[in-house]
Amino acid sequence: MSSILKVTGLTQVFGGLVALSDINMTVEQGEILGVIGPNGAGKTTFFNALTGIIPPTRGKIELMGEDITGIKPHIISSKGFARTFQNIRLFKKMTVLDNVMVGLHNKTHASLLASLLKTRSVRKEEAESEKKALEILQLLDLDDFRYELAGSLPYGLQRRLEIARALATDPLILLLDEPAAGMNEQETEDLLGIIQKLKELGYTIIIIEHDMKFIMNICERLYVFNHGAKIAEGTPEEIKKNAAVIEAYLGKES
Amino acid sequence: MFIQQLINGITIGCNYALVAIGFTMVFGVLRLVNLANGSIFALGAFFTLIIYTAMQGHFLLSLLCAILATAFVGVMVDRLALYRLRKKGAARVSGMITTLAIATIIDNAVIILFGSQTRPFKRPKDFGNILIGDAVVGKLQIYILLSILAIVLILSYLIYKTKLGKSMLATAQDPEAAMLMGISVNRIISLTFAISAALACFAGSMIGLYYQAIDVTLGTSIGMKTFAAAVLGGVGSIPGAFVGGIVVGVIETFVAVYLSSGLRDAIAFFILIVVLLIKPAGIFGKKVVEKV
Amino acid sequence: MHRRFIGFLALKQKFIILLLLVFAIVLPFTIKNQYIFRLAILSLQWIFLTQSLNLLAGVLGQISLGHIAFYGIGAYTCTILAKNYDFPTWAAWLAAIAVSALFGFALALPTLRLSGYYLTIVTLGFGEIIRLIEINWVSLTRGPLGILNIPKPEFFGYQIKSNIQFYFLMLIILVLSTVLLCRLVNSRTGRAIVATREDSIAAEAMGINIFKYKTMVFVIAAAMAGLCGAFFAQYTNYIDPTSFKSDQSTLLIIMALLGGMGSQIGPFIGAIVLTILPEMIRELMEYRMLLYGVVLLLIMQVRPDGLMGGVNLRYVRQKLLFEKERSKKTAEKGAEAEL
Repeated sequence: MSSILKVTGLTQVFGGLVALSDINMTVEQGEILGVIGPNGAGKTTFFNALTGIIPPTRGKIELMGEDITGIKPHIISSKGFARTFQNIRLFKKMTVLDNVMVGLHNKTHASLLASLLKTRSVRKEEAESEKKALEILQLLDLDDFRYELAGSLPYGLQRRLEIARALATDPLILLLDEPAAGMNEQETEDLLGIIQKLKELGYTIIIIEHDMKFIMNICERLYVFNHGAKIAEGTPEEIKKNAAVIEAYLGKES
Repeated sequence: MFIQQLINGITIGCNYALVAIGFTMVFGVLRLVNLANGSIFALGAFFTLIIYTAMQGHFLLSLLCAILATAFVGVMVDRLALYRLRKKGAARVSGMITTLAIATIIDNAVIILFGSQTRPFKRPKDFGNILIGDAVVGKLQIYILLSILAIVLILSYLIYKTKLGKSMLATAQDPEAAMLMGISVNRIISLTFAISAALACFAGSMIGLYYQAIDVTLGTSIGMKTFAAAVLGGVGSIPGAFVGGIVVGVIETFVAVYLSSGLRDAIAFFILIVVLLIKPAGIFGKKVVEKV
Repeated sequence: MHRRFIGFLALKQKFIILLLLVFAIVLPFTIKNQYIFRLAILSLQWIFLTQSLNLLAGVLGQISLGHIAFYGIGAYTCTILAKNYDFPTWAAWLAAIAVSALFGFALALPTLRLSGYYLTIVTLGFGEIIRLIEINWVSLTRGPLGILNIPKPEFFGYQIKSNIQFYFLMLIILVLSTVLLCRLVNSRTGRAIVATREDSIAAEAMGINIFKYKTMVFVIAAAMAGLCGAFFAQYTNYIDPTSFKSDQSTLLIIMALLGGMGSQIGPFIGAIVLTILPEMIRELMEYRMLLYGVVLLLIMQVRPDGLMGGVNLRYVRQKLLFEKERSKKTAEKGAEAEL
């Protein structure tokens, strides 16, 4: 198996406070990986470091063998990372369709001048990207809402739209930051189905999630973070029995 | 010559500092860029002038009345225009634009009532000069410096040592938590506006006395210079605003004397832009990282 | 009411635009009064200028309190080149556009490090610096005296001097800008710009180089304002720094806000209403700026986004057509079921 992501010694320090210390991780093509841990364990910080939003203090991130540490977020996106956000960050005043079409930004090439002249190739590209965006919306069962403003969607659908938007960038790895947070049971169920579907399509996914049932159900391998450090890794079964994990979650028994 | 210009610069700068402190306090409590601060400065100066002219004498009493009147205007600005926006949870930029509207209204009301020409601002008496080394320093300058120093000290005491000041700091830190702690946030906000306007009025009146003239455009330029001062010191920081104000005053005085008086007004903006480019958080400010 | 009106606008867009265009073309032939003619031309010019600010403040979301500076830079560049150096009009206009765009680029550089308020304060300082330069660089601008007798524009031997010619010149510019802006906003580039406004962090995560797009918008908006300045100088024949004071920037913001930030019809409403309204109530001329201040205050209290704020007619149209089609389909299905 070829690993598509290799993280070595990733460390993040904020003004003396160590938010991540020496994280190592390898991700194989097509696997679904879970990152769990108590609040403040550094999970989102980890995603922010991977996607370049807050570049890491030390360490190395290799995507398909290429060192992408510390480069600008928009370039990292074009290299193959796409993510969703813990606090939904949609383009609220754009339609659902346009949100996904923004995701297609680096898959399209129309220049400013060509767009102003509305050349034939631009019109063709627009039609194609609209088609592509609709396909993605269909995949996530959002196509009925295509002309609604993203901000007007119910919460669960907003989370789903974030996934759609991320998929549009055609990522090598999809990073989902608490995709089930705030969802009701039915919505969580739907989400589980969607991730299953994405898995069948061959996507590689890293999920941060608090919902244990959810994550144990879907992930093949888990990483457990606590206080910015990785305290365990393994299959859901192994993690369930791991003493360090139990201690981190339940506290030291006296 | 140098010493004398330095003292002139500090005299002007102290006044900028007062206005900048008012600006920074409002920003600290509300995260609001108050674009009307300069207009309130000019309005305050006009109040003092009008009341003083009407009362024929009693400068200090006129000043006191003007300060109270300006503080009232400051509170009303918040109550009538900004309070509703806050209650609706409007975007912060709406607040800033509202203060722009208020600035436009105050400036033009002043023009309509008092005219757009420069008005002479008569000193109550000839204060005379004293010699410090070979520098000729107006006694008025000394009075201005001392009174501003006193105001800043009293204000610092109020803010950092009293319960009221601590409630203010708490509100600036986290309005919701402050409210939960039983602090009446709206009262604190009104008070902040009142203090800010009173400081602007005092500085406006002092500048009027010092230059012996006042006109409405002074408000606009002082408004912008005091942003520069506040940003230089780090927006939200009171000591920062104080130092920033003095630095801007001194630099612009030197530029006017040694380079060109035409550049005098432009220099504050150059400082502002350079500071923002090099150290956006200012000298005393802290860098704020957005939570993702 | 508002909703239905917008729906109507969106569906009958083409028809309404055609109607307005015919009106705009016929209008100058009916005007006999010089003063009203001037007002019509100024309205067109302010629409164009508001469009440029709307692109920056509405579409990109970066409020600028010094936008009039670009207009001033364009006006002075064109005037000085045409008058002192006998530049042909097209060259003077191109230079006005280029110089303003250059300043726009310079002003965009701080966006690398700053955003929000700080940048707004920078734009304020920038506008003030430019005005002070206009006043103090007397050898170039003649300072507060201003520059008189600016040559009239002449394009390849065709001189523009009458009101009607100026009117159509501005109308052509405006039609072009409107078409191009609509194309811009609804393109890949436009989506990237709006995404940057809506959430710059998410936009970056989607692969958008936000610095590039911010810079692009600053440059385009500045260039438009510069062009408008060149037109203004040659039309009015005289410029001085009072035309480029900060209250003019405020006026621009009010126009953009009244019409509605980010909407492509907003500038038309805002600029026309605020150019004509004070003229209609002549007694109020003295209180003009005061009135503008009150209008701005009221907008912020009642409808902070402006009349058409946040309304994208294309979105409304798409949605309405989509719903219509869907209800038609369900109706057909229902009919089939009944059979």
